[in-house]
Amino acid sequence: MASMPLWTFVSESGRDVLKEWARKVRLPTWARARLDQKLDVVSQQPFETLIHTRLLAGPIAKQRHIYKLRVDGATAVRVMLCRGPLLGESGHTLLEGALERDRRLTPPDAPERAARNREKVISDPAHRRKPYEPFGTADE
Amino acid sequence: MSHLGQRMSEAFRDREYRESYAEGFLSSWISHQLTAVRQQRGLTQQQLAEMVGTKQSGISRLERDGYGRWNFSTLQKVAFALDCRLKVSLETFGSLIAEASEFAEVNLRRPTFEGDPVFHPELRARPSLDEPGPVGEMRRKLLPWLWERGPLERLAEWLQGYDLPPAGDEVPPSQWLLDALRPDEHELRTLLAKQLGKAILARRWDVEPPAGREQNLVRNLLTLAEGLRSPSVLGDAVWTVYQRRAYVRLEGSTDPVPGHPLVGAAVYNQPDGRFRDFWTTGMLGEEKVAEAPDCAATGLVGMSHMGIPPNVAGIVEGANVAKKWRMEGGKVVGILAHGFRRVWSEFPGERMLTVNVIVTAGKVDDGWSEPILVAWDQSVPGALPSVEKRTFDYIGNVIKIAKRSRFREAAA
Repeated sequence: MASMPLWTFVSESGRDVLKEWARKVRLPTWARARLDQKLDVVSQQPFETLIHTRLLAGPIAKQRHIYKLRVDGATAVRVMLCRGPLLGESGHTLLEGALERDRRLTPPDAPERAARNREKVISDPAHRRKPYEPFGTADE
Repeated sequence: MSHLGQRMSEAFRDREYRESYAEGFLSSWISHQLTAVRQQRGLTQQQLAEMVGTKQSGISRLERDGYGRWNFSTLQKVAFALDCRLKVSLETFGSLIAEASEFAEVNLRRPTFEGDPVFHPELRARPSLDEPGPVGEMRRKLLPWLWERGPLERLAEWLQGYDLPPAGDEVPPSQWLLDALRPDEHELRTLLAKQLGKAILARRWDVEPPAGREQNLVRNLLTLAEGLRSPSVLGDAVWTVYQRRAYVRLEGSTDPVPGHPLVGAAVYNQPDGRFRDFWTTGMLGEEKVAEAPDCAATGLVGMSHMGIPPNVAGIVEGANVAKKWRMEGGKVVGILAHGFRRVWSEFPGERMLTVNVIVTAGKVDDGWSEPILVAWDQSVPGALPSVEKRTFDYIGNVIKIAKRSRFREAAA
């Protein structure tokens, strides 16, 4: 498989914020499966195709580096991510999780948080991100 | 098994997980494959919609990852429009692991019927792509493009100098493509010739290309045709262009389309000898040129020169003039030019040009081919559109040498 790297943001204490968010919102198994599947696509398809097929939306207004991964279903699951973000780097970094209903995100400031997280990754890539690990079924 | 495969094989033990994953995968598969194959065919959403009899927005919906409301009838129409079949099949979850692991764009593309190796055995043998160096790099770009009958825009990019291996800027773009195929890879060369023929015919040859890369593209399309030498495939395309360019030239248009590669392409891609009579007629001075009714065109249409009198020897390139003279029946006979010589080498034993007197020489720029050195009879001054003094002197000296040595000697 020719895949591009997929990273996930980690907090100062080294915790995977996406996993924590999934646990916090009690993301159901079907949504985890869908997220894993779409992220498998993200890691294998060119960025332009991801935008074209509207799997990724963005860049989100006012946050010119943040894109939104869309997973529709009974609950609309969104993952804020960015390209890179290190200079000349391929792949994507997952920055923040959110749910969406009636075009309103929960948490509403998810894009801004994602932008801040992106800056943290840029300032300390060695400690503020790690390779993406699938959500899987288990709610760790 | 890949990392992805290992992870999936564990997670798939949960029924809800595997069914949800499969549901999402189906949506991704349809949208991404439809996009990949449509783009492989070089179609816009609007064009595909017209082929299917729907709206562009309908195609756009089908290409959205997550759409999920497909209609079999519509998908089948789309598949047929893309020269593919629609397959609906019940499969194991185990097979999903391999499919999801190989979801790269290149794996989603499908050839048309014409590119299907089942019906075209020459496509089955896939040569190695592991050749090292810049030629190997070019090969890794070119061969997949040939196998997939990639978009002609890709060929145009290469021939304009884009996306070529970084080494060897001095190598012409067409040479990169020729070098990427081995001499004995006849099927691949034929495939390239087919794509090139399409690219040539897709161009408008009755208008002048803008300067720069577009003009380089025109030149390199023809140079590649010259190098490929595939008369059965390229003959018609080159002949079409040749006729078109000859017509434009005789209309008096200034035209930056290069004559040399076009004639070269025509020489080496004549399918049935049709050019042979045409050229030999022109070379023997029997073809009249509309703009100069008193003169004969002594060279190739598209290669030679308007307004040249009938007793002109031909195209001269430097000292070649001194090497090619001989007397025959009281007349000087010779073939002089690099352009003529090249064509002449194709027809050994043909009649030679008959020349009465050569007294001077100059440079012709007819606005069509590259400026060409010619020799002509001084008795028809002003027949040539332009003469450069410097060139005149240079060639004049060469002619004098020729006259001193062989010409006078032979005449005596």
